[in-house]
Amino acid sequence: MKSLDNKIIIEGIRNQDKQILKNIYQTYFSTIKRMVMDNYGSEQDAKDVFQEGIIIIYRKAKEGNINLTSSFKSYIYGVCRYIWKKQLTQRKENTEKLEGYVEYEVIPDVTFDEYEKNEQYKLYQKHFKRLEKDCQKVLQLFLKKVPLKDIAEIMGIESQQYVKRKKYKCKEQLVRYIKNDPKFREQ
Amino acid sequence: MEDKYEKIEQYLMNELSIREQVKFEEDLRKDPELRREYELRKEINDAIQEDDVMELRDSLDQVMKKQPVFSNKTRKIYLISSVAAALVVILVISSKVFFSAGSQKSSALYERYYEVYPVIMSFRSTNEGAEEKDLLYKAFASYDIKDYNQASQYFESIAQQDSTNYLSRFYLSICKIETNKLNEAEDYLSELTVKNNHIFWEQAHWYLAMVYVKKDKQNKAREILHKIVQQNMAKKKEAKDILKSMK
Repeated sequence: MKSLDNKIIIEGIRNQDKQILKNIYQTYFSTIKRMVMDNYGSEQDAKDVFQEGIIIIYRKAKEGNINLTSSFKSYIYGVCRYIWKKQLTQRKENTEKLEGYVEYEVIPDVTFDEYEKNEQYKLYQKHFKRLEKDCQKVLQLFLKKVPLKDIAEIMGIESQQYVKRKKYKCKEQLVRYIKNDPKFREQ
Repeated sequence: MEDKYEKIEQYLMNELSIREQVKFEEDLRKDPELRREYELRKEINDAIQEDDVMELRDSLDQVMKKQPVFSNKTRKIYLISSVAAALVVILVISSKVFFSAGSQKSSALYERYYEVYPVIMSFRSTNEGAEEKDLLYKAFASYDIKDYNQASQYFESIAQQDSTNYLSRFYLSICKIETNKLNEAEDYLSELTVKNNHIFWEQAHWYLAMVYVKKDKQNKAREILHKIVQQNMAKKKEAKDILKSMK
């Protein structure tokens, strides 16, 4: 029965309920911030870690792959600690103190693959958002398998051949952005 | 190289003839570099189709930029300042005498701003034990068809089994408002506003203010509404509007 609050939180994340997201942030962020800032991080790092923590939980909730045996506070703490530890390791910082950090001792059910996938997709999505709106649109329409003539009409372009060309150019631009990102080279 | 990339893109979009596909798949097996490039481009396609994740990231950006976060320490300071502000307001108001038209005004405000809190989740997919699921299911089903007396009973049984169950206490308080048991609603909501360790903390403030408005306890309503505004809680705009109307 105790887990009912957990459920409403998880459902809120899964449904992207803004009110619940706001409440989660107000209730739990200060703990995450303290953990990150006590371990070589800035407030911005704490916000990034918290955000990715919620997104990893969202991905897990969407797949029905979440099992909360403790309070949500412990859970998000565990997930964020896992993320921050990975990032400290990448930055070649010492994680000894963080490992000894047992304020909310919990082993998160986050796998390395889930973490890696989230990091990679975050990078791709960041650069996707850098593309011009038209480029974003044409790529998404293609991927949604909208017929070429409809894409041309939506985009207000007469030549279907030109639409294809544009799609290719946009994708190449996106791949270039990604490959030039130092974080991509680290992966 | 560009040709290679174009082939990969055509393959990913199913734009190759069957013969070309077979040839491409053969190349993929033989050429590890081509394989890596193919995997990358395929992953990029998957990633940029995640509209939902990108939207969630945008929502979180908004939430985290807009909202001040209160540590326990600052929350205490806020609490003290909001109580102080409320006291000032009370002093100013008490010098004005509270009109007989007050109660009429309050009931109009209540009618205008009060809305029953929606059922915000579906429990169909939960893995709770049968008994718990059953109780909750019945509670929300009754709540959904506006049978608040019945829903009250179910939420009460859940709350009795687990005193830390904020969800059931919050919904129970709404049932109490709906069945006009305002004193009980006030008790439950007051309890829910003490600690911010649950997700109904802000909503509980709003509904507590609504209870005070309905009971025509204007000073108490003001106190809570000021706190909602000062701490940037949910319903801040409505709280401001009510405070203006109350002047």
